[in-house]
Amino acid sequence: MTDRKRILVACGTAIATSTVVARKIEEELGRRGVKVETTQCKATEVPSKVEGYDLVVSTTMVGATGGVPVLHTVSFLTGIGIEADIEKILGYLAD
Amino acid sequence: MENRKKRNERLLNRIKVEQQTTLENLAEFFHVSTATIRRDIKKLEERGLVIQAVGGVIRYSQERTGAVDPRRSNQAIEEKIRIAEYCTELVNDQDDIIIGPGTTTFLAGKIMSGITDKSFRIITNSLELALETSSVENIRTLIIGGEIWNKHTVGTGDSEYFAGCHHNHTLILSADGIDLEHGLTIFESRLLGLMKTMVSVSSKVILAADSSKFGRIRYHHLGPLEVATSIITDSGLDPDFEKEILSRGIRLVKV
Repeated sequence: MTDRKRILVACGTAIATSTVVARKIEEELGRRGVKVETTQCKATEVPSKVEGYDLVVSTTMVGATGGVPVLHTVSFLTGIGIEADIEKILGYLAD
Repeated sequence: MENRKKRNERLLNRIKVEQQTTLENLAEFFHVSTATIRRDIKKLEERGLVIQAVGGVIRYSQERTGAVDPRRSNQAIEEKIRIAEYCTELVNDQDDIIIGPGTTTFLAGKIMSGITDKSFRIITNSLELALETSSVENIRTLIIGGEIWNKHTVGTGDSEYFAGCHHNHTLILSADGIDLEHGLTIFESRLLGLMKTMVSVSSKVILAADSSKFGRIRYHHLGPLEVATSIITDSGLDPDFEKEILSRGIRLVKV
């Protein structure tokens, strides 16, 4: 059994965006030997789905997350700042 | 005391050599306080040259420069992503989609790589985008040949593909300037020929441009506004432009 960390990946409308973001996060963390479980949703669904997740990563603003940390970033789309964001994610997951 | 610019250069070299280090090590090496180094590191970090990792470790950033210019990437980025997301919804199964040069179009292509329920082709001059889309099974990726410049883009479009291809592509196009009288204009002369060719083989031309581009005129003329069959922009569009665009029979979507 593993205690894989869970990340909720949210985007505005198109589910395609969160697919790209989730894939990138898994790929980057995988290269560092960290396995995570990602789930995708729309930003508006975050408050109702967030329970049980360790982190929310969103390309757009999200509502209340009940204490679950949120990383608001577009780096996984633009390609700029990915490394710094991965460090942040690792920091959040380590807590 | 040596000037800051010079020290920054030496600092960066030092970090490159050590690959990973700490504020304390660097302060010792340069005989300055950790507060001074911290300030310098912050500047280098803002420029995306170094990374401060968990636990205060400082690393040289291996990140390659992207197709998105970091100095421009924050400009209207939320709008650009919304526009790009909308473009994604216009993809049909079996489409041949040309992704023209530009930040918004690059983002559209990137987000398209997240489409999993359709098979289509992407034709691009961006090396970075091609690497991304070619890793996805349902997308066939075709890269346009020519000389590489700017580290990530093939600029010249010296491509056999266009010589014999069909004329039924969907083009996701951007322009640096959009004006009612002067039409679509761009900054970069090297891209002009390529972009004109892209337009000439496309039956659908989707102009993906945030509202800041409207009312501007740049150096090189790509064609009249009517080159675009649809325009996707944000809600900041000037109402006069909106009226005129619609009166010319161009489909307009504000996201």
